[in-house]
Amino acid sequence: MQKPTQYRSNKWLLPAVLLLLTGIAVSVSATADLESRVVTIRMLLFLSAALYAFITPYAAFPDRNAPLMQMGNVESAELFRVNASHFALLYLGGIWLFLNMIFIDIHAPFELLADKLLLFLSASAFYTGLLLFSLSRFLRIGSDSQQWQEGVKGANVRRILAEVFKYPMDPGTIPSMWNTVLITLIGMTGVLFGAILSGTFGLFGEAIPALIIFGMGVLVSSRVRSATAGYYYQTNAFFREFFGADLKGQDQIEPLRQNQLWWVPAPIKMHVWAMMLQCERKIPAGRIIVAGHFLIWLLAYQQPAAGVILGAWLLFSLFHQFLLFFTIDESIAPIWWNRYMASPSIWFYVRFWMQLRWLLPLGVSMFLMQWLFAYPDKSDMILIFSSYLVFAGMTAAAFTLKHEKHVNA
Amino acid sequence: MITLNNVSKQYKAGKVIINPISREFSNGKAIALVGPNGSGKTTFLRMLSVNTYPTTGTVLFKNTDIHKNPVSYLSHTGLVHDDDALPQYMSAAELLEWILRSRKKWDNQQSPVQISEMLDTLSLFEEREERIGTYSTGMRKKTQVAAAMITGPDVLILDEPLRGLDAEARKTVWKLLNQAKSDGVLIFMASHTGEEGAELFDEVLTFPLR
Repeated sequence: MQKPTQYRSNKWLLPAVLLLLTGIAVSVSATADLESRVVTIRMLLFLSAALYAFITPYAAFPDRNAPLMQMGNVESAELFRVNASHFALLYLGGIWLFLNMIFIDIHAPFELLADKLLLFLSASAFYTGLLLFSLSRFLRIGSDSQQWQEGVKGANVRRILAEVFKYPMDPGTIPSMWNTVLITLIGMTGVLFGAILSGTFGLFGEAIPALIIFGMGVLVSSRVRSATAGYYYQTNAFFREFFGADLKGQDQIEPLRQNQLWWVPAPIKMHVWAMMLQCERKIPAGRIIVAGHFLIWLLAYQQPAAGVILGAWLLFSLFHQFLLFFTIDESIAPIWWNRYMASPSIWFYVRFWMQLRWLLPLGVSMFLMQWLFAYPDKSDMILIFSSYLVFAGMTAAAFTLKHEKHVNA
Repeated sequence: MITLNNVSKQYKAGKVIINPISREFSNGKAIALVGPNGSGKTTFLRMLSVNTYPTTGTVLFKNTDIHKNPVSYLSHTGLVHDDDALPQYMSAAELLEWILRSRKKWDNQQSPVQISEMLDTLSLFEEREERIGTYSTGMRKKTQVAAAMITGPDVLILDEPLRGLDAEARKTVWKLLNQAKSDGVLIFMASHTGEEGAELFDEVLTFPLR
């Protein structure tokens, strides 16, 4: 027999992500004083509230492993753990980012260690509480969502929205929207209260809302945990039906046409078109990006230090790249199909070029901010643009290596 | 057109699925792959469709190793995969448009007509504009058959293309395959029995291969 073929694994993905986050932390806060670090952490918590509020249902449901869970008749506590594991990379990435942003200090690495530790613990507690709270809320949303979707109350809302406001909407999404608003509000209010309390109590004041949110997350999740099975199957059933219904082909907007992709080179235009067409049908990425711009403008309005705004833009540049995740979703891009359609190198270019669609709004938003608030300055803008391109390239490469490079042997 | 040189496959050391095989298959031939579940038919087809790599040996298409040059090889093939997963957020018509554009065979005037005729032939009517995620098993299979044949490939690799199709649709697919064969296409097709449509086939490979 000849030597068997060797296959590569993707074990480097987590270290690569952590390394990238360390790089960001170093570039944003390695030389910053403690006060700037506190502001940056607040901003990160602000963003994480919006992130968890929005992505939790998309990341967890519908769960394609549900038949497997049924086959093994997995118990509630284990089901809760399985659902939480969908967020492992995001959670670890967040904690790692806090750790690096707080403790990597070139000027005074061993000073204010107790303060830094307190800041790290309170940020981690805040972040953990938010995740637990968000996951628990969304895990048990199935019953309410179904009632709104299938009941008379929901039908009336649908009719009124369509007739009076000319806005087509599925009433089944109302509980999700309420959850999104609630989690965002809790997170953002927590950050604001922390900032106010720190004026009187220092960093201990910052920790008070963090502990409250952590306690709330632990309490709510401990209740849901013991009854997860009931919640999980109903919620999964709702989202499977909901997203299934979403596939019915009733576009609210005109489908994307190839000739609209003026910035894409002809040899890859059809692939970019196919991916964007599907991604937009699955998740309204444009709205998420607009929400991100809104948050940064909200931050800029408070006129923090220029470094904080730079950090926010850099993080936002990185955040854009998470949307590429949908291009490795099996419902959009089955591996065998993508391998049939084009080579891995082509898929790398496709993903990279897809991301260029956000560059123009990014530039316009930054220039407007520069005009109104005098930051980010020219050198910061160059750094943000080039970081965006590097992040896009790295993410496209990582996802392509994970998806199309994988040989299903 | 396709040459197997000492090709074998084992998923674990010592657990051989396909014993070493050396064969040549020329154009215009139809090869039936028959055998029970787990006998290696799908593995064999997955090797030919570059979704599995052989443990030993090489598969050549016009003297080029398909596993080293998958893209150029796949541009000559049509696939009906065992896994009927297709991009769910596109319609059948959009999917065929994507393939034709990707294979640089798109023509603004002719291609929409060609797509329409292919989907008419396979009786995918109003559904062609709906998203594939809403299709039944049979409609997915029809979409896969249309996707495999729309570009006029040199090699067709079909893993149970008739599964889930009704009698009328099966008849249509057989007709399409006969037409393709007479156009010089090399066809590999797996089925459980090999009895249906036996007149299409020039050779029957019985699995497990000895």
